[in-house]
Parts: sequence; structure tokens; C-alpha cells
Amino acid sequence: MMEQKHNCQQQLEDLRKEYEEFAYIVSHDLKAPLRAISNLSAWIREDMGDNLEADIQNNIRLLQQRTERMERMINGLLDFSRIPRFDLEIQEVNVQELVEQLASQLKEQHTVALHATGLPTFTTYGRKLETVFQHLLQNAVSHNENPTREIWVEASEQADTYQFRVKDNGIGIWADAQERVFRMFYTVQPKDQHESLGVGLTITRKIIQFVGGSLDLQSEPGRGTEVTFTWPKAVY
Amino acid sequence: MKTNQAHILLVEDDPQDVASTRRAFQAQGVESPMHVASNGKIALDMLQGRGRAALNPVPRIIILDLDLPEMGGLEFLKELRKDEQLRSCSVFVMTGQSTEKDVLEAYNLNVAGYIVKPIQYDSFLEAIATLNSFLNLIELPN
Repeated sequence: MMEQKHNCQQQLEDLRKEYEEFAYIVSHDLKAPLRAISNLSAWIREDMGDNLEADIQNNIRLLQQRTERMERMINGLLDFSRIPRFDLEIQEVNVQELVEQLASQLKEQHTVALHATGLPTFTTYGRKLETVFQHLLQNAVSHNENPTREIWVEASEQADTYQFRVKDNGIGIWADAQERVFRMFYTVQPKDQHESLGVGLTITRKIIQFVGGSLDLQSEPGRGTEVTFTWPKAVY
Repeated sequence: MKTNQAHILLVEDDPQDVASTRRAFQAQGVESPMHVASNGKIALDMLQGRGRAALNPVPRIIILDLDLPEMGGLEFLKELRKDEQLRSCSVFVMTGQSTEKDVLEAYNLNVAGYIVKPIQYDSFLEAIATLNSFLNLIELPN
């Protein structure tokens, strides 16, 4: 019985490694043909110059935009595959400062009102926690059509974890899409109208699972989204 | 020797990447002859003067992809550093992959720089322009 359990765990671990390796290799190998497509289309534009008809120029522009998008998707896949292996440095994180700093970057493009006080300082995987807040705050601002994009960030201390809540006044997510938003490359808004790649919540959930926390999403169309997640106080 | 007179050896197996590199160097006005080897073994034969592919003068600048058939880039680098005549060659890795292990191993083999090939052609042009500026600044042994 014990041996069977051990074999199952080993198989699971092998599959996990294989999957991570697969994502890593695929993301690298996909880049070579993409680079060729990008280069060749740039050369056509360069070589033909003003001789290209307007609709062909437009098609080349669209082609290049799609290669840029594909590159970002591959990088998203690569980031996803790196979660268990990268950014493992443990450092003291002042979450209040971190959230304020991330919000100030978003203020360069949008009017953002951040409501956050009393967020804790603790020692953890600093880069991973930063990535989680980066994606959640980015989503709170991107999927929001209000003149002022409001974000509330709160934390409460529990026995072994901190519980963080990130809430916004954005467009919200329909009930049937609330599980799909965690799927890689799924986007709430049409891809042609929105720059979102659909990797933020996938990566966020994977990181939270990696550190041993949990995540819950509540949302109502037109009324905003609230993401609650737990993060262990101590990492080993 | 000024680097703008030095021959360049590009070790790269992807014809598209060879064409891109040639084009990007031409766009920078670089006139140094560029030779191409499609794997590490052919590159070594060219540098060490074996067979018809022997190069004269020997290129002092090598642009090296890592993911190559037969003899890969890191294996080539190890062989190059063992060769007294060639160990002073300046090698710039230019590859599609950037694992921490590969970067460390390449620098331990004294590469002059490690560049991840940008996907967008404009970014690739910028990377080659920066590399060219660097090459114009440095002196190489004769």
C-alpha cells in the first residue's frame, strides 16, 4: 500500500516536471518561427517602401501586431512554466509600500484611486507576491471603464496566513466566465479591442497554489470584482 | 587591430537568422566579411584550418548560437578555449534561449556578451546596432 502510494507520488512528480519542461521547451521553440515571420514581414515593408498599396501596408501592420501578441503569449507561457523554479528569494516585503508603488505605475496611464491602509510587512517570496499584486491591480484598472478606477486593498491577519482582498469598481465578470478567467489566454473582453493577454489570473492562481495559499473570486457585471487570497505568513 | 577590419564568424544553423543577421549588419554599414558555419564542428574546422572551409585570416569575432545540431554552442566554446591560437577570440552568444545555467556556463567560458535574439525585427536591429557600437569601441589582438 505504502509502495503504491509512493509510486503514485513519483508518477505525479514526474508528470509535473514533464509538464513544466514541455511548457518551457515549447515557449522557446515557438519563438524561432515567430522571429522569422516578424523579420520577413518587416523586410517586405522595408523593401517595398512607398510602393506598397495601403491595404497591403495595413495587412503587414496587422501581421506584425499579431506576432507581437504571440510573443507576449509565449512569454506568458514561459512565466507560467517558471513559477516553481524562479523568483524563490525570500525577503522582507512591506506590502503597503509595494501596493502603493504598483498603483503609482498604473496612474501613469489612468486615473486611479487606491484605498489601502495598514497592509503588513513580512518575510516571504517577495517577487512572487509582487507578481500577484501586479496582475490583480493591473486587472482592476484594465477591466474598468470608470473615469476614476477605484481599487481597495485590505489585509487581515489569521493564525498562519494573511488574507488579502483586492476589490475594484470595474466592469465585473459574468458568472459563467468566472472560472474560465483562470484559463490560460482567456480574456473577458474581445482580443482585438483589448490588450489583455489572459495570463494574469492564471499566473496569479498558480503562484498562490505554489506558496500553499488559496484564492477566491467574486464578481458582478457592472459592479466590480473582488479577489480574496490567502498567503502563508512563513515560507520554508 | 580595429574590430571594423576583423572578419566575423557567425555560427548559426537557421538560414532565416543568418539572413537577419547579415541584413542587420549591412543596415549598420558593417563591411567586415561575415562567414557562416551551421554547427560547432564546422566552425571549429573553419577556425582551425581543416579542410576546404579553412578561413584565412581567422575571424577574431564569433557570434554564436547555442542550440546547434551535431556540436552545440557550449561544446564549441569549450573546444575553442582549449585552443591556444583561438582562445582569445571574442565570442558573443546570440541565441533564442536564456536559461540561467546556459548564461552562467557561457560566461564561465569567457564570452564577451550573451544576447537573447529579440523576436521583433526592429528590436533585433537595435541589438545589432548596440553590438556594432561596442565592436567599434574595442581593440582586438592581431
